[in-house]
Amino acid sequence: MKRLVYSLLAVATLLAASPAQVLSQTFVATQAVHEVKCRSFLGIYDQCVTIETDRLHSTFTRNRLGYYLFGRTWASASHCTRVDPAEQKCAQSVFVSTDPEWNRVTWGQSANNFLRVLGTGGTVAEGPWHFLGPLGADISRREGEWHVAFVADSRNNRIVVLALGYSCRCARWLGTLDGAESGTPLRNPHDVAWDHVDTWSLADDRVFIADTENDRVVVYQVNLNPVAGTMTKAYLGTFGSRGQGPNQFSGPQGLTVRSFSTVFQVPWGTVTLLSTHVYVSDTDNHRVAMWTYETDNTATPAAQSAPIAGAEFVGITHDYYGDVVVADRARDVLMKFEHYNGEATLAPLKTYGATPSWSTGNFNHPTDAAVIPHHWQDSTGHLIHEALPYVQTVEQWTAATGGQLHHLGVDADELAATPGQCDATLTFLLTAYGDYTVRVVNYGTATVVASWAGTGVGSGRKSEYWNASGSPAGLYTWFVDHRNAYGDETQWRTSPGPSFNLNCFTVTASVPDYVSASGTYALSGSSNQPADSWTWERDGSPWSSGQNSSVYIPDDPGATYTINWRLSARRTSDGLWDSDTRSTYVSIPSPPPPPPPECPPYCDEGPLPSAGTTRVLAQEATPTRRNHHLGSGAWIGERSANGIEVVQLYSFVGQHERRGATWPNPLASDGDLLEEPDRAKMGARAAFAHRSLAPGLDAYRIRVGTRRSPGSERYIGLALDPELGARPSDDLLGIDAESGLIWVADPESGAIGYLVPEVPLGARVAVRQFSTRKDAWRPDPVTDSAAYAEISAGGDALTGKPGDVRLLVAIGPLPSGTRSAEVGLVMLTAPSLAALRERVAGAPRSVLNLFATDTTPLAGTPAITRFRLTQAPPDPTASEGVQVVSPALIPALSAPSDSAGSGNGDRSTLRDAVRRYGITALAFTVPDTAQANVRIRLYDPSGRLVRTLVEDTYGGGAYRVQWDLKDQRGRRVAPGVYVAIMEAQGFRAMSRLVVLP
Amino acid sequence: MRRLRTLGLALVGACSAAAAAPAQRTESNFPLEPLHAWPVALGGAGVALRGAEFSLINPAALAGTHGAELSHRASPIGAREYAISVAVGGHWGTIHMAARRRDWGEIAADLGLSDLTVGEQSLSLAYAGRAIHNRLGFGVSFARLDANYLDARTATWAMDAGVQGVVGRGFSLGLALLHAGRGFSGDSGPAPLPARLRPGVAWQGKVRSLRVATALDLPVRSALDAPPDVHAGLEVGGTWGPAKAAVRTGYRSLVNRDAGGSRQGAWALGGGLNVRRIAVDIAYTFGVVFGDERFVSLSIRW
Repeated sequence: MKRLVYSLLAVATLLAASPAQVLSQTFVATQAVHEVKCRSFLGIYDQCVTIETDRLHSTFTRNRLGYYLFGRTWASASHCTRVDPAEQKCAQSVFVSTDPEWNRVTWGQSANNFLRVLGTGGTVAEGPWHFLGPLGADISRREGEWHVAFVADSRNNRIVVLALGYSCRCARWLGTLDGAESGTPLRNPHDVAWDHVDTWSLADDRVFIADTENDRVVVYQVNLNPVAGTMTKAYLGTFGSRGQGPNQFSGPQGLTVRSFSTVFQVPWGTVTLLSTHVYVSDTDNHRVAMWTYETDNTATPAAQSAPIAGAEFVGITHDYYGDVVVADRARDVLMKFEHYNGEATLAPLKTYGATPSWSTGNFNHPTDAAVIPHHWQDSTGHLIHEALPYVQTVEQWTAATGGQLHHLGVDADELAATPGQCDATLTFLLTAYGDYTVRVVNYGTATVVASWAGTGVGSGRKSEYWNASGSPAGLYTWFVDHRNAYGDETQWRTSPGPSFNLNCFTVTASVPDYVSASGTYALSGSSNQPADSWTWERDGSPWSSGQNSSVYIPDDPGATYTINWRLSARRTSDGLWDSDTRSTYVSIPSPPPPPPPECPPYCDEGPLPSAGTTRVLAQEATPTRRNHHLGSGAWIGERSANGIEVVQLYSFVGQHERRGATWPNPLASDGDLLEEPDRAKMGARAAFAHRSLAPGLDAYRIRVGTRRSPGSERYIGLALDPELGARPSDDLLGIDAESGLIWVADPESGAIGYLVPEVPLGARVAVRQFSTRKDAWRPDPVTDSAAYAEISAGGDALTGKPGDVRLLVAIGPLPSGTRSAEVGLVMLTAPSLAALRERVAGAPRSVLNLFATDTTPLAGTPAITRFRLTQAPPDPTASEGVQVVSPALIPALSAPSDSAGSGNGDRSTLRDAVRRYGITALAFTVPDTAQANVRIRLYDPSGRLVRTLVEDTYGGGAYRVQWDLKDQRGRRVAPGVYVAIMEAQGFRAMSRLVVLP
Repeated sequence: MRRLRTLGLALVGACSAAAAAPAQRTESNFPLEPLHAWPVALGGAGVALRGAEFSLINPAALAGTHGAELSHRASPIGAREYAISVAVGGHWGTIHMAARRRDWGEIAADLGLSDLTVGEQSLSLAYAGRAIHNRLGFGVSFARLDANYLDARTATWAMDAGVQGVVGRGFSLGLALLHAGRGFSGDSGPAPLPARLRPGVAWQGKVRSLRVATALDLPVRSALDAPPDVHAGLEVGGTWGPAKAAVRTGYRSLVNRDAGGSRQGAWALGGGLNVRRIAVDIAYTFGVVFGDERFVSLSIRW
């Protein structure tokens, strides 16, 4: 019982943590992780910054369901796995985030609606899959099936390395880094950064650790083998010490690493230099530091920002150009710093946010930051990955528009021509913003042979290059026509340029541009004037002599490379040389890639939680889906001056097990009156009906009654306990956006899904997965302004089984004046998540819509503006009384009478139900803005009063009233037609009921 | 006397059957009340009045009648009722046949189901005669009651029996047992018919040149557990050449099925015009709950 009470109090807390507003967005994990702030300037630029903070709570929402899967998120890291070429942005990513409040790591894939929670609270002694205050995180690029995640398990003084299967979706514990090799173990490390170096392989990566309380950065080299579930590590060293000097840190809490290579052309080839910059949030020094890390594992301080009083820099990231964005948790801002080569300072570039707030443009204790990578395709269709600093782009544009030159046209003295043998560079100075046209004229024929135009061009020196290949030898001249775009100086003016001579000798090489199959390909050359001494070069090396040649491309599946050709020849008449450079792109297709590695029977291989936790639980709990049940109970909460108070508790545990699978199961006669501590006081009752439609497909209708309390807000809470049996510490869970399915899955035991197809009008549904830790009930600050209040709960843990997946469903607020409300819950089981989804997708609407309800989103529910009385469709499960319903459930309220029942199938089903059960229910509406005394009386055709069915005060909404076919004296009425008359605030309407023999 | 004895036995048997009917369900609402505009205008009273128009109140009223009636009722609750009856007689008595239907139209229109209807119909055969020097009339009627509720059909038999006698000075008395039978059966148990033992008194005479008739049907609390409704009416008429005309008014009480058995009443107003063999009657009832109802009847006598 005590456990139950705490469980239900926990549900109450769920209400306190419900969202302040219900956003209309699709459930996408990326949106939860990436708080994207974008501003568009004239549709030209988008300025976007991604913030990853505990604001995750507010973004994990859908139209009607709010899902809360995090206690508080500290940091997130993601890797883009698919780019949308049209949108030029990341369309799918894999992310990992840390939850120091609930001591676990969340791993998900956007667009797949996949989310998984890893681990639970515990110390090092409890073995793998136990975290204690995980903070910083990073994730590697995908290599084959795997990503690798790095988590700063701060209070366990270690870095945890996890392998995350992309398609198998299994997680493996690769190992830990604890800094012991340095002689001083890690102390409260706050962040970790993965560095791919430049080999693009998981075999020789580097890991940088912000060892916060040791005031240093620790560097490891790791060889990651996710397939085998192993990792080897080599300690490379540390840098930094405690202090305020340029080479010192004080409590560093964040770091990020940027490795890039620079290619230099030297006479003997190319030289690639690897550079690594390590940016550190030097938290207690209130600054950001940049270090360079050399290939010989030496680190040198390169730059620091000036200390900023009051700043508390934590999570940090960088963009493509090396600018860094860092979260300042104390001042509730994000700051961007830039660094110029050779300078020893990181200069503040911009500050985002001002006051602690959840409004757009502001931040509330940000703990991490990320920059969205931008992607586009080049002309050959190859994907280019870069991170564009959007913010900086806009600023540069702004600076460029800061001044305008107002001088006239072109400075004639600045016109110059630099002719070559067969080309020329024409330069001129445009002294004002305007238009120009450059014309090149053959002096002998007076014909224009080339021209360029510029419109709306800013002032400055302009240059046009003319490749004169094919043009006859001779004298050429050129002109610039220009005009100023300002004021009355808009007439065209012409400035002549100096003449020049050309004597074109052009060699042209012809090579295959693209080769996709093995074979011999011809190389040929030509020239516009007689030539000799033909020479071919390949990639800078002599290839062959002669005007024509050939190349053999071997059969090398998967090979992709480029051959650079250079053909040279000498003009016979005067010995002038010319050459032509071409490229051949070789791509020999590979055979079809092997299928993805099959997931092992037990995917999560590698070191498992130490003996006594998962294994024991797996044996104790029968791995069968028969274990699932409705959960521990339900409650009714009421909002008062002290917050939301639980006014009624019910226990559902095991009740349905004693019931037969018969249907219909009218609650009035067959429902369970459950635990009612003080019915006389509360005037409350609760019951539920259970219908077993098919193996693994059960429907529940939960009806809770409460005293009428106009003006108060009431809520219903349900606790769902999907006991999958095995491995409770890391069950998969998620939400299917299409069907609204809330699912929990386990690789061994199968999957359970829940649908909530029926809720009272105006109520919202929030679902939250909760930990069994007792400190997990803190309200979410996001919801402080919501129509929910806080209930604090304490006491012992609920089950003592950490990580047990439980779901709390909250429905509310109920419309004012509600005396009872119903919730329809459908529970499905299947061997796997895929099968579960198929089952939902393939189930006929009439099956999932068990209670003749409609899942029309509340957003589409029309406002109720007047009183109405109409017949209601039969509901064999309903008992006598008034219930709040959605207008969508009543044909006459949701559609014109001639189209009620929508589809033929629905109409046929309804007809069958009416013929079977008669017309014994009414629906009536009260305008949304009203609260009225409503009376509905039933009469026989002669006008004799039979029953006063409704006589009470109701707030705005739609209600369904079920007649139990008894008269006022409690006798069952005879078959026939009865007339119902509704009266409310001068409104009077009549409807007819039919009682079958 | 033999026929009277037979009728008496029938009355006793019917009363016993009705009294023994189970009371777990309320009485059926099958349309058994008079439909002709004449008795309706008198508040449904007429157990002691003669004429085919009163045959549904007391089959003894049929004694000596010849003719046919066609009646219609329009109700604000969406029901339409029709009735047609024919009576032929001779020295051996009167045979009366009647058919009646109440149609509820598109009863499930709110649900968008226009093809589901409710209809209640009956077909009756009555015999009436006179005895004791024509001072006592008696009659008995058997009716087949059939109902169709949203394609769910149910049927039963009902019997009416009654006597009427003239006691002098314009007074007449009547006693009728109405709607005796087993009731409609159903999945939830039988629904009894609204059996009634209804006595009545009427006075007919002249006040100056006007014909005056009054009728009062008294309530009887019996083991039948039937609400003791009261029916009373007054008619004033005259003759002007071949035409006879009358105006009528009546009152009917209703006992509700609430716990206290509260009452409500409905006034009625109507009139009739009779030219030779043809008569037209109209009636309006002013119901408190449903509002006005309109009745019209056409009668032919031969």
